[in-house]
Amino acid sequence: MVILSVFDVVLASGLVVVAGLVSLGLGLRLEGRLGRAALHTVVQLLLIGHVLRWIFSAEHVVLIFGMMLVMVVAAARSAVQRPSRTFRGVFGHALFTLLLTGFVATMTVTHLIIGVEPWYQPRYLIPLLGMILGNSLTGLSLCLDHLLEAFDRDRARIEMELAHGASRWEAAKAPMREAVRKGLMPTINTMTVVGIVSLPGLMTGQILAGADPVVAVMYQIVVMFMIAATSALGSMLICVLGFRALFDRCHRLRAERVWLRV
Amino acid sequence: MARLSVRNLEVVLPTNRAAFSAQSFELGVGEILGLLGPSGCGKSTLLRAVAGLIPSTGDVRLDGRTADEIGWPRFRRHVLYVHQRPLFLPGTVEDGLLRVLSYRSAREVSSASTMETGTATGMATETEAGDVRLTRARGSVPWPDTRPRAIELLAQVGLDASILSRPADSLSVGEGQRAALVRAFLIAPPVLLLDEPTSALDVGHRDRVEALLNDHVRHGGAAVLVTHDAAQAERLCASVRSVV
Repeated sequence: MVILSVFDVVLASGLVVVAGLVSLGLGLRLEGRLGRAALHTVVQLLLIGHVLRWIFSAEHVVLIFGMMLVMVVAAARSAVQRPSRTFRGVFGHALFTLLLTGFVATMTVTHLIIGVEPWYQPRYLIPLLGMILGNSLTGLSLCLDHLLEAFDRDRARIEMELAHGASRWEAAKAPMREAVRKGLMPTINTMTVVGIVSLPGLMTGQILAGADPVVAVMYQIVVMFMIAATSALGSMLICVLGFRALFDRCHRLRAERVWLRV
Repeated sequence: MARLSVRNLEVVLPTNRAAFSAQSFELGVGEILGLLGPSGCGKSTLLRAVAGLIPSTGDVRLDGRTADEIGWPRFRRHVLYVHQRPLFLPGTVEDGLLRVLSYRSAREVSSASTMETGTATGMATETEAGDVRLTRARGSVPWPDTRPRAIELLAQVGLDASILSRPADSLSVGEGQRAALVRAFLIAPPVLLLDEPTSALDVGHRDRVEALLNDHVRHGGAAVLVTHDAAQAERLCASVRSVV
């Protein structure tokens, strides 16, 4: 693999300048934000690079799981900030969902499929969890957004169903099913075009690092299936948790618990 | 024993203000109770509270039993609230009717009605032979057997059977109001909570709905009717309360 020097990275920053020139030319006034975003990219990635180097060399279980926990908390925070509506306790729901699905999926792949030894090897655990979280949080936030919008917008229709003897589950089933569908769509779309329109990061990274493309593809297939499973389970779980928070034991929709994010 | 008994029912709004003064009343079999009051006085909120659709304090009982004892979906199947603004699910009118006949509570009511007599669930035992079809229609009988009754009810409120195949969102407010009432009468609950059921209807259609309501109470039903029309309350209701 060709090792990049600091000079190479500085050279690449010229590409961001091109984006800045487009903004200037079209009067988008995005130059400042673009500059700050580029700075964020450099600082965050350099920081994580050094942290990962430290964790990889230490190979200490507490450090590895501490890092994974930080990643899950950040993903949960991001997942609940994207939907236009929210409710009390939503962060806890997202955290629980991502912890459960993220850790179970990562452990399944590293332990059962790849057979990593020792089982907590950070070189596998952390990137795999990162990929799961990155994809799951998109699905999760889309799912939440749709669910909360449906509960809020269709509250009268849901109340009509409850008034005619529907259980809370019967009244909520259709919007919940649609929300899970929305949550799964990005993953399905990605799976449909992967390898044709896009070469995913994991595969590209492995190929750049000198791995056999077929080996890289095998890893990518495993990862795609892992992401599909976590997106489906995660969307379903967040919907069930949201449903339990927004319908009470008297089979009433408590739409007043949902509010628009300002 | 009263079919429906309401004791000290109160709803506190998010603004910490009571939606209406505490309400207590009883409703017997074959009775219609009228609720009158100015717009915004909380009549609809009171009906929704009786049906348990919004949090409230107080005591609501059907045949001496609370909703917790009966089970909330089943309680609402028996104490059925009909919104003033007709609400339908996406799809045709027929899809909407099929949907409300498919709930689990509908199947429970259907099987319970054959076992429990003398309670709210045994309304069929108090009705004439023709209305037994209504009870059987609550889930256990396939739609082809229930459809003729739906068409009959539609005709009674002045709607043609062709409305069944129309998308629910294509109905006018008046058509929707009558179709929503047909949906409720098809379930034939012991207690109907009607929120201005004829507000969008002309005199002819209003009379048809009133006749259907009279028919319902004559066959063992009961109803609480919110109306702005004092003459209508006088025509239909055994007693009238003012909500403030």
